[in-house]
Amino acid sequence: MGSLGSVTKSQLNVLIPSVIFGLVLSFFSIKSLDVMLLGEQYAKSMGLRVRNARFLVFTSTSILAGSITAFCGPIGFIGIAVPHIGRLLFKTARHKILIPSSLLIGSIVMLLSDIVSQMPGYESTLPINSVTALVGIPVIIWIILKNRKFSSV
Amino acid sequence: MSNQQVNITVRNLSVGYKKGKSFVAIKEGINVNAHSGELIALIGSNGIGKSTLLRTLTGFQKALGGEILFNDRKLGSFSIKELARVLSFVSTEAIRVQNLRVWELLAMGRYPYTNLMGTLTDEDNRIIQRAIQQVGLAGYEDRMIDQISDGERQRAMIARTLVQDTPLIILDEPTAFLDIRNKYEIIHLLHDFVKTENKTVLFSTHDLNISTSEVDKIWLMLDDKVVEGAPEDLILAGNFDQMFHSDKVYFNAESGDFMLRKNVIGTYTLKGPEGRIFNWTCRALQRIGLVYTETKPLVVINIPSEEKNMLWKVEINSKEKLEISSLYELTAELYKRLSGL
Repeated sequence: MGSLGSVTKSQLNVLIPSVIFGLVLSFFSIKSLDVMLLGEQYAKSMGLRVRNARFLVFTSTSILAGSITAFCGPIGFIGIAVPHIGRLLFKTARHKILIPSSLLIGSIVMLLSDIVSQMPGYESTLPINSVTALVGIPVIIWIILKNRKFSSV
Repeated sequence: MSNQQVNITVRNLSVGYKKGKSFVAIKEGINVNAHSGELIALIGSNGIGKSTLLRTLTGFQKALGGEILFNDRKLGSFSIKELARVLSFVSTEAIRVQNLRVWELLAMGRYPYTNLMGTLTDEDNRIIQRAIQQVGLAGYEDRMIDQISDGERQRAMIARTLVQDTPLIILDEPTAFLDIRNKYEIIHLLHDFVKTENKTVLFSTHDLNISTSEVDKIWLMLDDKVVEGAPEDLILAGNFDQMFHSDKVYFNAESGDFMLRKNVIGTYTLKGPEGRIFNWTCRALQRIGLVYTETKPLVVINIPSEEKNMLWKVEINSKEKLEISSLYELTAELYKRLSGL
């Protein structure tokens, strides 16, 4: 279940361009994502073509998630937890900051998890999923508790 | 800031919603107008279609019939980007976004003008700064919008429409959830923009007496028609009386507000100098159901002549005489005696 170790050099020839393409698209959706914070109606009233913007966001997400999953297998919890860690650290709703922060925090958490999963001195390597879950689950619990508090106000 | 003029003409408009495959019209045959420099209130009872009309005017939903013209150009012919430079909108729902600062909220208003990455120019920053000043939110730039009061958030939302710099601003119940002071201030704020920036502002509201004292025009939605005119025109024509069909509520054409009908328990007359004490004594007596009369009153009250010595001298039926030192005791005493309790 998920591993960073099995990607060959020739596979990187496909993976790197796909990821770069996905990232470029996600940077171009920053403006739309910001204006969609207030909801679809406001976004529309400020001149956003909501359908096009959605398409852009879905496309970049699909390319990024799809290409990584194709080469590294399914790795859980990173996608859901990291953006929230970014929000928590930077206390902003601006995607100009949130998207790069997700990029960096995502890489850091992923590499740390990979190190933990193959600690020196152990014969076997842990599945990387079990390590990312250790990071992801507390974050998800925190989000649930926070939202419950928020809606009761 | 743009000094575009905008004239809105609504002709024979039908508004409603789609239910399955058929359309349900809520209101038909709407004919109204709006011009630059006018503050317009849309008034009507709950469920009569105010929000539907506003959503149709903003282009969020299609008209079922008739036409809406902005400067003689049909609403339907505007692209969504063009429309964003003509009208801006504030909805009735309170927005709750976490980690969003006032400044960032306002910056969104520049969306139709900024480049692909949404970079703000010096000009954009100046416009945002100016709007913050105009709504009186200076010093709030870095506050989170979920950590400011409802009144402040509403100001921020209004500032965002100023930043969007459109000749027409439409607001759906901007004064709902606000306390009296904020209601007045928000309407007054809108009134200011209309006059200083020559904008057209249309808002729906239930606050009748606040809006009748500030707006240039009212669009009044009644059960069978929509009428427009200066607030005073509509009051004189008796249009507000048609708003409710209720035994309990009536429109008082003198005060310009709705009032509860009272059971009449007697008549009164007041003796003494006119002024604040006189007026508030009248109000107190009307509240318990007494009616003013000059001839043969049931109760005669001598009001205090000066505010230092508050003493009401009451004479009931030319027989009983009382001296009472507050309106609270006066109304309680009279109500007890006259209502037959």
